Amino acid sequence: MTQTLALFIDAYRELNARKMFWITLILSGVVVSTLLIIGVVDNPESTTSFDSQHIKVMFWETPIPLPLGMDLEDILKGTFVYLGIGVWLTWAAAILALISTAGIFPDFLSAGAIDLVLHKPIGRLRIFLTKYVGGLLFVALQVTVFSTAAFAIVGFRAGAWEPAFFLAIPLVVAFFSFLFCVSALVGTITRSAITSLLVTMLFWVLLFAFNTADEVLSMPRVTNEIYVEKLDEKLIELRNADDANSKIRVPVVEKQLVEATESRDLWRKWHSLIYGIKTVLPKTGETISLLERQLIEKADLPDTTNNNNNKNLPSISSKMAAVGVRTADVIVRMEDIYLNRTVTWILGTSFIFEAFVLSLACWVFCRRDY
Amino acid sequence: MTSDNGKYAIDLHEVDKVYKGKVHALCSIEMKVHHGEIFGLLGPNGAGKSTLVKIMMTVVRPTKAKGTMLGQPIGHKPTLARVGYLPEHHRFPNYLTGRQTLEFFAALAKVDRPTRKKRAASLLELVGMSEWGNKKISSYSKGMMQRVGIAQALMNDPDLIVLDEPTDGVDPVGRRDIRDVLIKMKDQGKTVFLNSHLLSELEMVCDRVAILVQGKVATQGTIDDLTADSQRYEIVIDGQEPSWVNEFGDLRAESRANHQTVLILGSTDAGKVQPIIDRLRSTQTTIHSIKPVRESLEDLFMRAVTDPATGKAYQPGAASTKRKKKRAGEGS
Repeated sequence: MTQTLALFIDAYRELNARKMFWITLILSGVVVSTLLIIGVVDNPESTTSFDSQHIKVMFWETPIPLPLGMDLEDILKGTFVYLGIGVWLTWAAAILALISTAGIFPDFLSAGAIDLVLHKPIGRLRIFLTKYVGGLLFVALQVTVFSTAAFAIVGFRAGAWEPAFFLAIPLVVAFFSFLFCVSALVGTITRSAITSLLVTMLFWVLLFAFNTADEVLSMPRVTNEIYVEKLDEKLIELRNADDANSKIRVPVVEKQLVEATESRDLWRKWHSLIYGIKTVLPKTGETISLLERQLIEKADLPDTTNNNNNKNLPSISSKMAAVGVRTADVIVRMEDIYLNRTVTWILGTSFIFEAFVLSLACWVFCRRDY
Repeated sequence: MTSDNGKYAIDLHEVDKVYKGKVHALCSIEMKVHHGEIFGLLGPNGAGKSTLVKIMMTVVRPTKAKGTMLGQPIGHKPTLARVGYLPEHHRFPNYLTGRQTLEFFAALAKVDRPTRKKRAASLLELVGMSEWGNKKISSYSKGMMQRVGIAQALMNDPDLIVLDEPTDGVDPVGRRDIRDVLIKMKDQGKTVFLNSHLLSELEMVCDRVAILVQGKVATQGTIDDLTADSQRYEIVIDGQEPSWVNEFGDLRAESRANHQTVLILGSTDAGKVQPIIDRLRSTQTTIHSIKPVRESLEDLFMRAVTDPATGKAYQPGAASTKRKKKRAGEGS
């Protein structure tokens, strides 16, 4: 225990000595302060319920109306989730954290430094894992301070003492650990901070690409699935109809159904391929969206299903629209697909990936001569 | 001081290290270090000294290693709690102060907190760094780093202290201080294992030495034993080589440039010198000096690292398996 504690204290001192840690913490303070300055103000000139309230920033009222059904608590929670976590902690701060921690293992493994630790009566595996967990301290401390501040601000300002804010701590740390394990592996193999950082960033871009491909491919897949369902319904309806006009349309719709089924199967195949690849990779995006699931009630969000603007999205062709395929239905079903992805699938498979990469890094670390 | 029953603090057998299947860094090393002595490991660059030390310290994994350290098999981690080690070119975390460095590495050696605090203060005092203890390592000179390094190696009150080039970058005053510390450690019954290039330093403190050449132990023992064959009397006289030199069995003569001759008697027995002096006096030969001479550690080292066949120093570095195969081919 003395040894593990000493390694943790050392990890903290190492972070403390890095300017990047304090710069990130100050920037976190700036981001969390947005929760202090965002507010809601009544619009006395309003004649409709749509813009009866506007969002204000400090003392200035903006022309942005408060979405229907939302209040200050929802605005603050949304700011925390989408700006604080979604943009700041899992993008900007994560990049700063990766830059700052990329050198941890290469520095630790450099000649003259590693000898001082390895000759102590402590196993190599324990040294490596403690050092790894110590590297996660950077993000753990940042997100803890950030979440605590956000919890207090939202509690005092909106009276909503939401414990789910603290869920951000394990989720953001897990998110970062999926990237940091790659940094640790590359840093252990190459002993180069630059290589470690570049490979980790590339890996992150790869994850982002697969995530985007998943989202992009799910849209035509779901659209075609709904299109096939609607065509099926339409075909039954036409076959059951007594009028001659309907009978004439049956072969046309049958042909459409065959084409739509082929198209659906093709999109399904490609989407399933991407989904399969994603299964073995860490799911950074979905990990963070777990927080959104907890904090943002679907009922609080503006209703997109009846939004007329969506009907004209280019993804829905006139042919599809003719049989009743609506963008809103597609969005709802896509949301359902994402929401039905279980925590076990999202975190479990990601942790399996992390465990595999870490095992490899441990193996290299434990087998190597220094 | 020694809690193990072994006769030796370090007793190595058949230690082999082959790097990536190509470079044979160590070849069947046999080495013994007695409890309570200062032992010096010498050798040219790349001879395998640091590899051997790193194997003992579990920093490098041996290809094969038998033997014990403090009575436990080589690589036995808990035993390392009783060992202090200062690696060559060590690099302390530069965000720590000297005191924090000592306490951190002591904690890794399982030293409890109150003891760490107490020892850090006393060891900083011992190595003359008490005024710098609370300053960051990044502000230290190389000599200061060495001093803190020595203190670090002593933080767990070890039974065995292994120091790799401890006086590297240290000024003469610092070297003397370090020498004094080593002698003090020896007086306390601790075993000191020194790896150094500074032969004169080693000669002053070491009880026994081993010379490693191309991954093999060329020779080991006390300095007196190792230089016993070279012990002699040298008599410097004026003029040519006397004609009666061959009458004395162990005597030979070497001419010098300034019309002088050195008579060399291959014995340390003072009684055997007397008849030669009488003979010289009887022939009115001027005697400039008579002194017992012994090979220095440097002479011994040079002899060990020189190929007797060619008279040249062995190539630096460890023996590669390719070179070994070539030699074997030549032999056959």
